[in-house]
Amino acid sequence: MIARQTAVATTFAPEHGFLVAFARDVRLAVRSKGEVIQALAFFVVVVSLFPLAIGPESVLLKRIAPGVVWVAALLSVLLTLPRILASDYADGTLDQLALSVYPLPAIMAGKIVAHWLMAGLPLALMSPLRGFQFGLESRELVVLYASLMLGTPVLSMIGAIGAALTIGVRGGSILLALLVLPLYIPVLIFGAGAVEQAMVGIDASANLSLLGAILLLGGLVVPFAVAVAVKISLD
Amino acid sequence: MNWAAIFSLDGRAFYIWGSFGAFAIAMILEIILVRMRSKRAQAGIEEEVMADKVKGRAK
Amino acid sequence: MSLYKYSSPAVFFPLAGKLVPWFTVLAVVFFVIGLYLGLVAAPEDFQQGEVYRIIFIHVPAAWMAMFIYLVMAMYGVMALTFNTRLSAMMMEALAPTGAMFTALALWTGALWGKPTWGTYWAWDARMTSTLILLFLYIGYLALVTRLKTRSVPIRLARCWSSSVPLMCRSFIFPLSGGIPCIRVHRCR
Repeated sequence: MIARQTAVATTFAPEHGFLVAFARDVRLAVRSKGEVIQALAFFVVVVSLFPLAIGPESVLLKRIAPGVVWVAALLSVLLTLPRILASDYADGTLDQLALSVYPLPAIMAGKIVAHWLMAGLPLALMSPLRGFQFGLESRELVVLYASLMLGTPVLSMIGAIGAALTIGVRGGSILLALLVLPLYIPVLIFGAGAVEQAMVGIDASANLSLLGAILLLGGLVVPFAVAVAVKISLD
Repeated sequence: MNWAAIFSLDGRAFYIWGSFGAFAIAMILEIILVRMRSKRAQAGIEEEVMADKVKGRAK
Repeated sequence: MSLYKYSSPAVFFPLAGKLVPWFTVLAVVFFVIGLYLGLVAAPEDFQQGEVYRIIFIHVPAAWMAMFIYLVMAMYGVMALTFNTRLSAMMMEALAPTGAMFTALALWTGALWGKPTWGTYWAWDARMTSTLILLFLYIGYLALVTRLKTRSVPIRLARCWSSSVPLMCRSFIFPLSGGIPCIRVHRCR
């Protein structure tokens, strides 16, 4: 009897809720591979448009590389944001999640991590190749990769707050962009700034540390904020 | 200072009157917009009070 | 506490109605004094000439832009913690005014910058953060109007404006210190 009770208690633990939501979203994303690949393709295409528009002058291209890669990553993540909550809201899953025995912040944290895994991580993995296209050196490529690894989770987190606030709003995606993009600016500045410092030959660790600090702070606060926003908009 | 000087302001009139003009327009607009907003808010509150009264009667 | 009774819109509104004429008189008096001091009493600046008088409206506008945002955040926190409807209404009422002052600060700043610095716009920390502030106001206003057409409780918008921009603002303020060093490197 006691053993059964403890079993029940552990099943409802927050980390379990995290895992359930995480596994569900990953499974959904894996089953519809198209969306992940499309977001990645969007990123690659946008980055490749700049040399076509500006011209193939290598010095100039190298100068703008960090900004271009970062802005493209940001837009690509922005496009995938409705996926975090919109379809779950449309088919009623979100109401079920909100009513479930697991704490909502844990569920939301699971969804955010799953979103990063499907939207942010591929971009970070792909970024050295894009930077290579723009003539970045290996040391700068490492910094670019590190900055995206630290920065894209923050993009998912801030985006999740925006997605939760615009649940079920007509024309929500453009509103989402309007809400979320100004909040992305700090990440953009530090991310692109890190690579730029590496290009000038300065130690980039200051900017990377700040990105890491934002990431940690976001991880602490964001799941709770998203949970509150979801609860309010489901009312 | 005569009137001509006020209108030319060492050739900087565009900047100064551009700023003060925008400021004046904004202030006038603000008064109009605040009036509209306060009317709307008042209507909302009246509706609410009416609803409360109806509820009170129902009790 | 007797002050709490004013958190109800139905009680607060008559009080506000009584106060409005007094504040109007005060505003007009201060307006006249301020404009007299700024345009007539203050002597011409020896370096900038008459153009410096723009500062007399530019700085208050910029100041109001930030102050109104702070007040909005405060009302947002109050609305979330005490769940008072008046706080949310106050916040909503403040947002368009705040956006207006932000736009005014940017406009007058540009008109001051051209004759003084030789450029309408530079990616300086103060300007950039004011521009971001304008974006935040626009985002908030868009959210509020969109939610109203859907007639969902305004609580949602309240949540956005208090928790999120408060957080992000406290992010961006220290960050705007970071913008100049990065941006200046980039420009020069």
